[in-house]
Amino acid sequence: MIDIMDLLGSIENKEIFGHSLSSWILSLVILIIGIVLAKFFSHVTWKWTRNRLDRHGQDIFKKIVYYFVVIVFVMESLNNLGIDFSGVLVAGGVVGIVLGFASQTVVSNLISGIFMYFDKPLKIGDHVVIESVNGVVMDIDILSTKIRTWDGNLVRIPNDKLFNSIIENKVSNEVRRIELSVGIAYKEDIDKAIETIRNVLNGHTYVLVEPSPVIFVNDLGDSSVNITIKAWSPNDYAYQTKISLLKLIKEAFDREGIEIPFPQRDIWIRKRD
Amino acid sequence: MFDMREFGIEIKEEKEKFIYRRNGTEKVIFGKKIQFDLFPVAPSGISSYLYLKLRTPIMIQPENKIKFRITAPYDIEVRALKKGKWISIERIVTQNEKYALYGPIESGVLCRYFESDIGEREDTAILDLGIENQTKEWQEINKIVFPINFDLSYDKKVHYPQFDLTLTSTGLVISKKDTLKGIKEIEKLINVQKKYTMLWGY
Repeated sequence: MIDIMDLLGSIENKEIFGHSLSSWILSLVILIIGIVLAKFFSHVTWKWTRNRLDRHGQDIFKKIVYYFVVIVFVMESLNNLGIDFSGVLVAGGVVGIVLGFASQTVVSNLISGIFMYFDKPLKIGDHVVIESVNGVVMDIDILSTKIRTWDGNLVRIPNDKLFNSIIENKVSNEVRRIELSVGIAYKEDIDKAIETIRNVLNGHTYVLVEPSPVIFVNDLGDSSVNITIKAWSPNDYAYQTKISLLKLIKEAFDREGIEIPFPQRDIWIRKRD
Repeated sequence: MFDMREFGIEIKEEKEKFIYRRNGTEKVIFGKKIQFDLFPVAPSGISSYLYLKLRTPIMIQPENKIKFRITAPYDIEVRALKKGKWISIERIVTQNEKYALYGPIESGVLCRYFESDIGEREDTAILDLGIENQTKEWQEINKIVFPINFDLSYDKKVHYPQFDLTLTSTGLVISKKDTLKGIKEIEKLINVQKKYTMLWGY
């Protein structure tokens, strides 16, 4: 049978990297307690901010609390091993500069994330276009923002890049304007075509009465008289409205006998005398 | 007051379930002795405001009070009821469903839109308005916008709660009175917001 006192004695006497095994174990226990407490406090913070902040703000505060508690316990754990932090801070000037350069991007992302929280150019669930990325905001983290594109890919954009990008938020307002263009044959009556389009817009639930739609001849093209339609729609219904309007206008033109021409070219063949 | 056949509703009872059908919509409701009924409800749709455009604008002289009645839209809700508890089966739009934005693009409110006439019409609800012009100028009212946070009542006609409109220098303030007495109430009023100020013109 192993004598417990002997075991404790051997732990006390055994040295690893100049420190007793018991010191290492105590530091490890402090670290584990720190992580558990950090998780607990971050969870409490998350619950406390649930009705006070949006999800983005909740995430930021939760992570700040988590890392703060972890850092405090890591320092305490190292202190237990006899590592004096005041000495480290003084001596670590050069190291700090090196680390500073190395972590420049991380810090930049972090600060951009905090600025974005207050600026609020986007929020989770928004439809956004950021440069060539078009999709829905899935998550706004402290370092990056994740966008799910319409074809289902997940794009991660670092916050500092996002902060300096042109962000087009498609759902920041309740309504959005949709723009369509249809061509009619030169022989057709323009007023009749415009009236037909207006009737289609008036009959569509999600084309707003105010701001009123605008329909006008925009271009005298090579093969057609091009009519532009600018109509407002509730944001959530803008896409489906645009799709359905094109179909409804085509059907209405068919009913009214208004021709939508295809590109035509007359070829004259010169005969040699 | 409302006939299910008028709206093309068909409810078939089978073993311990009911099958609801209307215009291609089909729903199965499990349970026994369920009562189905139609109720007029405020026409919210995808918005929580109502925009009543007056076909005939109203002029009101300075420091004067008037009362008048206008037409207003309503929707029909099909409900399944059991022991005082109910669930909405379907909402039927009785008038043309259109929307409009009241206010500027960046801060306006999306509203269900309806063109109102002065007086009554067979197929619409009744909205009684009392207007007081507190300003020292003549005023013209073309539209009335207010939040939909009330229920309708009905006897032979569908009634909105009575609204009082006060024209002040800041805008048109709309406040809601209680549901008319003596008329069957569907539910108690949900008084989330009793006053609304039309800041972007009337």
